[in-house]
Amino acid sequence: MMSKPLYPMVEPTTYLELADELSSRIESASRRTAADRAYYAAFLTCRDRLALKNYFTPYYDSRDHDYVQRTLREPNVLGTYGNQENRLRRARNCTTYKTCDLNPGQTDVRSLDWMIRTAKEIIKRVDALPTRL
Amino acid sequence: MVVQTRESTSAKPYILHDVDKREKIYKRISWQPFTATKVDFITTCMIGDRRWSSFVFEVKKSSVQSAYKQQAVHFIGKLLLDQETFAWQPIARYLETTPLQEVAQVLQKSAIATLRLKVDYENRDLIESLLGNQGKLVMEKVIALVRDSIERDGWPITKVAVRYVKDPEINHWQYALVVLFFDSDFDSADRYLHDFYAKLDILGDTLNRQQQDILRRMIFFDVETAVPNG
Repeated sequence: MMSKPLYPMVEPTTYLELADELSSRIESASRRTAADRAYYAAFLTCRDRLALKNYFTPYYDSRDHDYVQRTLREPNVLGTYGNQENRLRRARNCTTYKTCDLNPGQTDVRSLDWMIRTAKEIIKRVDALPTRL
Repeated sequence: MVVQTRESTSAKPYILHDVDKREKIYKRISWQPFTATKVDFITTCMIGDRRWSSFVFEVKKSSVQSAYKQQAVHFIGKLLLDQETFAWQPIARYLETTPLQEVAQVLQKSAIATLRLKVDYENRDLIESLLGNQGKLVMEKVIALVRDSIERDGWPITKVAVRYVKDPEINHWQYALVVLFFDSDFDSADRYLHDFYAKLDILGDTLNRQQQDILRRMIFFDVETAVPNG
């Protein structure tokens, strides 16, 4: 009999649901975690969908962050709009690595609302891509 | 175009070299609701012991041109209330009495000075070594596109910063980040950036393969704003 997995498989878009839920809380830890999950929802969904649709072959390690962005920005993928994923990543890096107060107007600092909206839009656009033969 | 700063003046107009002042005026104009305007030049001249400055801006084609012109005149009045050395009366009179078409024609013929876009490079050596010669050409084209967006489309961009970014997690992942500074709130700047993506896609089509690759891999874009809300 198979034992129950320690971490059952995850559908990356469910990170967005978690981000949404956490965004309504006021504690900084919750909001920063939401920001981090918003980025990972977009990144992992893009990676898996692009792989599934034959746009690229992931490494399944940290090299994929750069690889996904590069692929998204190809003219027949999302074009320059793929730049949004980079913005999202830098916003996430801020909330992850800086423990000080983060205020609007500071470099790379973006609202949680913007991050979640942007993650959703990137996923929507990648979902709409056709499968490559 | 030549705005008569006084009917009897014989003073010779000259370019306003004070870039900060020009940018300040430009920022205030481009922030206005009629953002389809652009400042084409600013001149100053001495009349007696006083220095007078004048400028003009072009109003984009519109079915309600006269309404735009009225707005323009009204705005100049507001702008110049605290700029007492500016020749507001003659400019207003000129705008009131001159057909818009003529203003545009004269402007095209006599652009004495154009506004300079300030581009700040942070860690320029690193950026240049990262991009290489082909990348520098791409960057020049990107900056030209920004300039074009300001001059042709009246985008309220006040400055551009080109930054060298090294990702904090991924080894060897480095790139140039072009940050457009908008004199607007974040949501407006964000919309401009999305429009800029469309322009960049068109630019991409004109580049060779190597340059396209550089644009895709090494140059990213973002905005910063005077009135942050995002």
